[in-house]
Amino acid sequence: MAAPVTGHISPEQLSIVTDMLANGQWKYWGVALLGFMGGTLSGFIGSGGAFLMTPGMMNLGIPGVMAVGANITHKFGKAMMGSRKHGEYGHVDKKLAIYLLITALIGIKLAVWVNAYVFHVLGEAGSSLYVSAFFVLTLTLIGGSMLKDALRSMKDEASGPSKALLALSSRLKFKPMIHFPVSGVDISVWTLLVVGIAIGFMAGTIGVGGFIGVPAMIYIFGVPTVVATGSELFLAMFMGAWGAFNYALGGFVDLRLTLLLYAGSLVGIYVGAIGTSLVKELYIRMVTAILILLCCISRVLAVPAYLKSLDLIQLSGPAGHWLEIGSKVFLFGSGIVATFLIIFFTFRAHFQNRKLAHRYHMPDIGVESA
Amino acid sequence: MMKEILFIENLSNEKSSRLDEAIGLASTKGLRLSALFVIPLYSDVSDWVEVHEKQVKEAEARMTAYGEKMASEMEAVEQPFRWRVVQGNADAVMDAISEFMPADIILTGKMDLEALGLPEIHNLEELSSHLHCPVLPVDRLAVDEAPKAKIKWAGFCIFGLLSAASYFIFFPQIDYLNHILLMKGTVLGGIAVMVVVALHAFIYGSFTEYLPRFMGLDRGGHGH
Repeated sequence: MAAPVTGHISPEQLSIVTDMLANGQWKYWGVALLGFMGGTLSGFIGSGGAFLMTPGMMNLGIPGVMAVGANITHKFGKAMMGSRKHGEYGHVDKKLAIYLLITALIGIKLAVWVNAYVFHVLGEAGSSLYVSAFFVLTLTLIGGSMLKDALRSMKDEASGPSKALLALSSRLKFKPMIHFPVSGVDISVWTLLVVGIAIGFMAGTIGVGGFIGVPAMIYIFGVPTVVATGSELFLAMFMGAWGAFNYALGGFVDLRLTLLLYAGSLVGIYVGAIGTSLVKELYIRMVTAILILLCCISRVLAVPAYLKSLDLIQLSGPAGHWLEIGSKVFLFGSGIVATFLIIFFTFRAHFQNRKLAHRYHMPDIGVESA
Repeated sequence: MMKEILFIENLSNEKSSRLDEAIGLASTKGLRLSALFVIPLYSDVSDWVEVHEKQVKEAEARMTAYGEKMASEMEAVEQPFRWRVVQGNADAVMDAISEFMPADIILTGKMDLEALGLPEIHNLEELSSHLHCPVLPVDRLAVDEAPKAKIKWAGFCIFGLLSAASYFIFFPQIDYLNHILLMKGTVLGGIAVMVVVALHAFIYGSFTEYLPRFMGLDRGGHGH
């Protein structure tokens, strides 16, 4: 069996997206809509979007490895635009970012290799099953934790990040220890190695980036939130570039998917970002948590079809059909509703502000912008 | 009729202050202006504390000098002006705001609400609810100068045309390019993918950046 790395491209890989798009014009719009929803969410919650876009492409018939390849390539360009728009990175711990980047790149390379291997050995169904399993595990943990946190906030209970991982990490003082002055923490190089590779592996397997990197920096290393957030932007572009390059080496990046994602995402991201300043933060957390869990359910409903393709279970035609519909409904339905809510709240707040500005007769003053 | 504006800014350097705009508004309308400068504090640091304390003291000195300078300029033109510098912990900020209240409207310059550490307040909407006073970013009131507006349309059209070319001319060729380069699994193919993506993201992203501005959405209001 040939190693599934550079140069080993099966002819079917080249025709997957062509066949998918040939099945109807609506598929073009479907991918662009996924991009729009993912971009809006990404702008709204500051990270993520991948948990919607990657499973969404899989629902449209793209194998998991190619959906991840398209998403991670899309992420590279988006992060590049994000860093250009924001200009300065703010509070970036460059030393920590570089250490994490080196280890994460190893993790990404490993993830690409595993993903490609699964595709070549088990085919499209196996690849989608593998990626789905990762999604279900990750989304259950993250979504459940966020929902629990949001519900506690609604009840006015004190909530904050769990200190358990931080306490464990602080006990792991295996030398050599490295001091990071900007973050004000000391971290064992071995902890950095393990966590960095894990972040890279997760990012490379399912295309999720800041969603894992930022909490890891905060909850495991004890890095201040503002530094973690600033450093993640620095990391995202390079991790995305490396992931894109490696998936492209495996022949898993079809630019048609990436460009269709951009068609929607680079519109939605601005709406979402503006929405964060106009919508109550609790709504943001609730919407995000519920959406993540619904995406998780969508993936669970898609798994039986993959198992049937691998001859691991028996599944009747009607049952498979309804599971497929259920999976699509949960993902697209929840994405559309969440995006609609974000847009609705954003524009409502915007028009309220505009009424306010007009009420005080200010627009005719002609105050020059800086 | 409005009489009092409170201007709040959260920054450590007067170079990025938007106070001039608030002064312009107050002068034109004959309103009383109060300004509150909040020095950013980051509480969740450990070994970084000493460095941070030094930065805060330096920022406080800079903003105090700035406040005194603006106060004397306002006094020279007989404009009423009150000001205060405060370190950004939640209690100090709320005490300082209450000193200047009631105000008819609160205008904000650069604001990092997370750094202020006000509980349950993450954006200007929530701050407005908490203070029972309208809160608007000062650049929400700015109008575009005519020459800048012209440049915007030109940029919008150029990037729009390039984006259209990308989607209607380049996109249909991708299937062919996949077979000869992009999906061949070569290093050159990988580099080509990255170059195309970077270029397209720049062109199309530059085009879509204009859309919120034309809808009037991107007029400040970013509370963090």
